[in-house]
Amino acid sequence: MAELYELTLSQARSALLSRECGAMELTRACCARLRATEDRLHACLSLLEEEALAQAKKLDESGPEAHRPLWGMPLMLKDNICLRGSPTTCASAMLRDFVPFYDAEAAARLKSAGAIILAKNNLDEFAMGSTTENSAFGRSANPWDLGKVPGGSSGGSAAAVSAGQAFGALGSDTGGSIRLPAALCGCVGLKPTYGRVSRFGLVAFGSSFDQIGPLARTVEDCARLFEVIAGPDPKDSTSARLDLYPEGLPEQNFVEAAQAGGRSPEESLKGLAVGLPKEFWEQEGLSPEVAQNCREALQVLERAGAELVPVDLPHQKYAVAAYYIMSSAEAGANLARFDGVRYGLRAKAAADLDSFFVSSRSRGFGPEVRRRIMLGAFVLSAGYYDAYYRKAAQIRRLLRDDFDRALSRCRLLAAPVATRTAWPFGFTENDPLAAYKMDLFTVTLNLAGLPGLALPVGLGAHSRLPVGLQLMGRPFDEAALLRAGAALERLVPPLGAPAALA
Amino acid sequence: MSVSKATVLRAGRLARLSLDEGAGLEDFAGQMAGIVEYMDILNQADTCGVEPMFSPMSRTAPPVQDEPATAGAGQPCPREDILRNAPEQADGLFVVPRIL
Repeated sequence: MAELYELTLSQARSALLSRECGAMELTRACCARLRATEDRLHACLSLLEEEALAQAKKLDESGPEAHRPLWGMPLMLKDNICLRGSPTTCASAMLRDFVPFYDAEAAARLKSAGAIILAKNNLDEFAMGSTTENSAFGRSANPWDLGKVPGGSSGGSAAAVSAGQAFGALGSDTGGSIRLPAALCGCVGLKPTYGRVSRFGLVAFGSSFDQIGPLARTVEDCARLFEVIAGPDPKDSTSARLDLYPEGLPEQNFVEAAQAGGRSPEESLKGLAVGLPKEFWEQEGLSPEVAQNCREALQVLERAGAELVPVDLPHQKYAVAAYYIMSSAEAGANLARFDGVRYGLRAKAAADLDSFFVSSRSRGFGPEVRRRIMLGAFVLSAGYYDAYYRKAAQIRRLLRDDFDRALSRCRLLAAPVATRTAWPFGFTENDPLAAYKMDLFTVTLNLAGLPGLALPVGLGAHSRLPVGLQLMGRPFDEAALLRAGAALERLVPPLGAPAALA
Repeated sequence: MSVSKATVLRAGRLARLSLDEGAGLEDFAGQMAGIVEYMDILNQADTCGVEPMFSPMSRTAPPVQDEPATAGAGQPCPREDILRNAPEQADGLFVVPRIL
């Protein structure tokens, strides 16, 4: 039998419910795996082993409880998601000592579903980055090649999940921060529709972009986590209230959708119109191995009966610029709250109030965060607002229109997640623009506010590193992504265990 | 457009960030200039008459009464909890440097 930590979340759940193993045994297995791999990965910023084991013991005394969908399941949270009584640092010196006194809504939902939170994961500071190298507490490594980045900003979560430290994790996706690390580490990541998951308790970066979503080792596992965290929340006025959609939202049974896809892939894919945005597939710089793996996945879809439809997203070439203008503007506004008064780092001995703010903020924030805040201040400042911020918001509308047109002909779109497989540490150092361009294929969806699922479709022929395909869908149509994703997952060979941890 | 050092310093002032700490002004200005130059690609797009989209929300929730919750996760927080993360506090209040 496989080691316990190697089970999928769905298998672990069956094992728990049939009493083949207990919550304690499962948690211990993850703790042991964590100890065996963490030196090499640095996927976690704080370990909650003691609390987790105590909770597992308590659960075992009364359970298993089948009505709690994550009962006894060891999971992790990206360290920008508040967890009551545990440090939540955002990988920033600014919040080194911050301990929230409340749970993020998504964290609270995991807990009430019976989950055990085992650790908080590393990230790029305040989720700003694509590599996890911008963490103030040291970078994470890719479990497939320890000399390469895991992607970011939810790189710690993706590395941990791929390595078997936990059965799943929650990350956040502002410009690709769930999908990119999932692709680079060879796991599955779902970026929900904007408004689908409450942002309450997620430390804000770009408020019109941020979404919390799951990372796990299979599509069905992702669906299980997603079904628990999705849904309206009165504490987040941007979470989608069902009463605002009297015509109803698409199918909400995410686990069922994923199971159906995995059970009968051909049936799920037959006649499904899958759009191929030419701006992604014909992108200059798309590496041959990524193109090859992704095209093979398309052939699999086609053989199973899906209809591949060429589509255009004519404004895609403006996406990276529009995204960095708007998200930096929002970041500048959101991070204005860190002033050294109510929480966060405070500089000692300032001459006056203004230099007190300046010095606290300049010491607390790392270089990338300062760069984005300043960029935000610039694009919002008098004389530049119309030329940059307003213009970017107009492009955003055009991009959404592009998607709406393409998605009126197709149920979903498919494209690579990134132009290449995981790259070496330091590759984009001192060249922030090169780093921003790594998000070329992911930011578009955040501008449009639509859902996307990243899943592995093999190892690159040259690099032998994971390649991810993303499926993009209509608003609130995550079920279609999960169904098609699970079907495709069933039809492509699994990646196996991460090579660098063998 | 090209970004001058003065523009970068102004952005720093607006954002309450000093450029003396960590990476130097020269580096920062150079990087900002490169980024802003790249962003000028937007000038190629015809956006005449296009309504800006500041949020992807298509339906806006109606305003609700601003009433404190009495139960659940939204319930009022004890003052000591709120103050616990403050770098400096006294008598149940946040302490800031004297300005007068």
